[in-house]
This record gives sequence, C-alpha cells and structure tokens, in this order.
Amino acid sequence: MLNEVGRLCVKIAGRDANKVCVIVDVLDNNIVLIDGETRRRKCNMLHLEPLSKTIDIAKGASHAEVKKAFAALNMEVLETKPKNSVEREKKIKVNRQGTVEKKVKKDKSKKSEKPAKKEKLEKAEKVEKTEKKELPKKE
Amino acid sequence: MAPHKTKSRTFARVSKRTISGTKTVYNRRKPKLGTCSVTGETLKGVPRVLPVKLRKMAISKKRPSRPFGGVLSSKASRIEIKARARKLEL
Repeated sequence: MLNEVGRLCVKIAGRDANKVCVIVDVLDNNIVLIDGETRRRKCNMLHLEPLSKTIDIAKGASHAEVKKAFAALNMEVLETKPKNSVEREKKIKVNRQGTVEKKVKKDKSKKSEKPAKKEKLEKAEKVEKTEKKELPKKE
Repeated sequence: MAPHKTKSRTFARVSKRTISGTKTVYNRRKPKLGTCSVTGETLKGVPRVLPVKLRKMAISKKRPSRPFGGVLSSKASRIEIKARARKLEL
C-alpha cells in the first residue's frame, strides 16, 4: 500500500514541492493528511511521490511526534506560527487650516423613523377619498 | 542625424490621431511570452510586461511560487521533481 500511515513522500505540486513529508492519516481513498518539511495539510495522492521508506508513527500523530521522527532522520520540520494581529494607529486627517477633520456618522435610527409602506398606502387612499368628495356632482 | 528609434525596428510604430493629422509614436515592443523549455507550452502566471514595470512588481506577481516557477511548466516541473525524488537516499 502506498497511501499508508508513516510512508515518506515527496510533494511534487504547489509551493511545498520538492519537500519531504510523511503521511499522518488517510482521510479518503485518495486524500491523506501530511506533515513534515511541508505544512501540515490535506493532500491528494496525485500530488505526492511515495518513497520506499516508512517511519513508525501512530495514526493521526501530532506535529511534535512527527518532529521527533524526522529528527532521527536528520531532517527538519517546518514550524509555523500564527500571526499576531497588531492594531494600527489610525491616521488623523488635518485640513489646510490646521483643524482636524472628523467623520460624522450617519444616524441609522433615521431609517427606522421612515413610515412603512402600509402607512404610505393608507395615506394615499385617504387623500383620494377626500378628493372624490370635493369634486362637484354632474347636473 | 536621424535618431536611432526611427532607423531600428526595436520600437513599434504606432500612428496616433492628433488635431493636425496623424503622428507616428515610437513605443518599446512588449517581450514575448515565456515558454517552457521542456514541453514548449506558454508559462502561466508570468506577466508580459516591460522590465521597467517588472521592477516595480512584487516577487509573487512575477512568477508562480513553486520550485522552477517561471522557468518550467507545472507538468515539466513535476517530472523533474519525481526524477529527483527517486534518486533520494534517506
């Protein structure tokens, strides 16, 4: 079996191409979970070139376990860190006159004040009725 | 003495309409599309612009970010990487 857990492979497609990885889990007939010099991710077997060597790791092994196994082969593992979001300072616009511009937010409450469609229709009906009454009768 | 651009064909001649009539403008020709040396197909993700514009572009916009990106096509690079993987000794 080529797509077995612990099989070493070389990735042949994408930005991690030409890097060695190991199959950590078999998710589907063709799709496996890989880890190693590449990023830990799902991968199609068509994008992998399996090697003859296998290593002993459990199914669904963690990144630390894979790192240990790779260290025995004198290989390094890709370490990724989540980006820490830093809030940027907001730019303050200054006029030619030297005053600071401030954006005035629109009141959303005004929208709710608008009369609903039903109310509009009722008003229109009332106006029509009053106009009819005012019209003089034909003699 | 006639300027170089009028004598050589490195500059494309483009006729432009003006109020007084037509005028020929000399523009640098765009470089050819990149091709893969193995399969011969045109390279995807490689812009066809003058080197002046390339200088201002980010690296990720100039070529695909995989190994052999901008040199070999994806098919050819897979063949090459496979061949190298089979020679690997771990």
